Amino acid sequence: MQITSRTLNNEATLSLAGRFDFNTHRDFRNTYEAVLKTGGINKLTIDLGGVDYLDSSALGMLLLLNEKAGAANIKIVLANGQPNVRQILEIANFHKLFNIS
Amino acid sequence: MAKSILTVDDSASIRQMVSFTLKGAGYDVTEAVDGQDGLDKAKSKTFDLIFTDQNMPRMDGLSLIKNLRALPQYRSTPVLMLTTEAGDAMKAQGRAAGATGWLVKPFDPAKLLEVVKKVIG
Amino acid sequence: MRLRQLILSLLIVLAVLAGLYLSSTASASLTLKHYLIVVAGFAALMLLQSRQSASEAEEIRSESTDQQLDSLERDFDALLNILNEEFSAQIQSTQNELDQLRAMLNDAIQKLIGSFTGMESTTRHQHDLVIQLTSQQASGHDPNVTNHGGQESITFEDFLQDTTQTLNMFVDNTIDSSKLGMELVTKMDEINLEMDKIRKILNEVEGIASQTNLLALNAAIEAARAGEAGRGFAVVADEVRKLSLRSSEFSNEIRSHMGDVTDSVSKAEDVIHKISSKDMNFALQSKQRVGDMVARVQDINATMKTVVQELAIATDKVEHDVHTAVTSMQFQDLASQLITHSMSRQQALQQILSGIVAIDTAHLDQQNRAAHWHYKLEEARALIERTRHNPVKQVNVDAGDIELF
Repeated sequence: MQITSRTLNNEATLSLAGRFDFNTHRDFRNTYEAVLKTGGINKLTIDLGGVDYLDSSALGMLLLLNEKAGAANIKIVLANGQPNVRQILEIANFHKLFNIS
Repeated sequence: MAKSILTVDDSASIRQMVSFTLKGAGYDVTEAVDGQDGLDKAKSKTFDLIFTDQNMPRMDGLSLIKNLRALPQYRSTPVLMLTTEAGDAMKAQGRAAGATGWLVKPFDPAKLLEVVKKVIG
Repeated sequence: MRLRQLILSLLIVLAVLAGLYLSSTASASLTLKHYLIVVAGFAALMLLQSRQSASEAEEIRSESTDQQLDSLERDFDALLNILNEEFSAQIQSTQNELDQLRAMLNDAIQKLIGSFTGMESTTRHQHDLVIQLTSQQASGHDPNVTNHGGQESITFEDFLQDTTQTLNMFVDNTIDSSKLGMELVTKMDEINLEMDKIRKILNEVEGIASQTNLLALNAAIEAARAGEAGRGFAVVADEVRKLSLRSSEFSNEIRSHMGDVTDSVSKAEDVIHKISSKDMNFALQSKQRVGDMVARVQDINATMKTVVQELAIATDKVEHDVHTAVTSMQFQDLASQLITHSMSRQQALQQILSGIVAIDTAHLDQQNRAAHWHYKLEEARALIERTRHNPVKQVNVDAGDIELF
């Protein structure tokens, strides 16, 4: 999966494309840890527009991200999910934990 | 306790239809085949209500009513005539003999149950 | 006869005239008066005689009339007997047919009542079954429905709710496991990083060891050059060389163990990979299936509601039809009474006819005969009166009036 990050003012965006699964765990973690480390961020958007597949490991990773972001008072937004991705987020009750747009 | 009713008629089909209607509504029903049989049965068990035909062998309806009214336990029991006779003269005789009411055959089961409910509940 | 009477009448007249004439004359003698008396007497005698013979003739005439009357009565009796036989035969046939009709009605009504009460009972049973079925569906919604013996009666809704809850739990479990897994691989990455740090250190250690080895070699050479004076030094250099070799060995051992650890960690990571990578489609499919089921259950419930409504209408209709049937089946009693009445009328006819035929008046005279006939007529009239009253006036089987006194 390809991950690109962008920061504007105090909002950062991570754009993901491809299969969001176990194999991406290192890259994903490294990228968001780098973003969190820079500081001054109060909102982090995960753009899922290019994600065509999402499994439980991806959900696990997002939960870990949520914990870390929560500890740093950063709001997480999961954006642009394709229909199948949105369905999975819904069935995992992620709308209770994240802003989903 | 269910109320008990005696039906007196020499016609088996009438007795069966009356039984069917009353039993269906939860009443206890006994049948008698003529006036004499009716009187005997009425003496052996006290009924809450009695239906009787007029034209029967051995003892007719009016005679049965007169005999019943002479018994202390049936002095004020409702006794209803159920007969084909519809003439005013006959009805007057019935009233004089002590009948509580007069039903002309054929009876409508809904109306029969209405009358029964009215006189004994 | 009349001629005779005429002649006599004339003679009497002549005698009277003669007498009158003679009496008118002065010379009326005894003989004339006597002659007149004799003539008058003779005339009277002649009259009497003629009267007698006239009544005699009449007697002869009435004797033959009596005979004619008797023969007429006998003919009449014979005719009555024949009529009686014919009518009796006809009446008997009709009685038989009416009796047959009455018996047939009696038989038919019993069969009809049997099948009617059977059908009504079955209909009621079917009705109860439907109520049972539809109320089973409904009981899930009613919080007041008591459950028997601790066994919960599960409705479709309960089951679907259970399934949804189970599915949610399963999804949560899966995600929690994956989250833990991802935490573990993070830790493992940290381990690997540490391992890399250790390897770096080992590299340095090995570097030091090989340098130490070289130095020791150099020292040994220098010691050999120094001869005896360097012998002590050579021993030390030798020991240092041994130490550095041992150090390299240890380092290799450590590397080897670390290799094992790295392998284990890698294997563990593979396992975690498998555990944490659960496809979420199962959950989506389950949810879809449950959703379909819910929709289907809602359809069934809607159908049940309709069924219950229709059942209520049907029940009312059945009740109404049952009432009509009960009222109508009393036709047999009315018909039977009418037939009995008709038969009694015919019997009365028969009786009257037989009564008339049995009249035996041969021994009675005119007056008593009339009285006897009169008496018989009165008997007949009384009999007719008794059978006149028709107990059944109904012309259809519409329900009759009810009057409470």
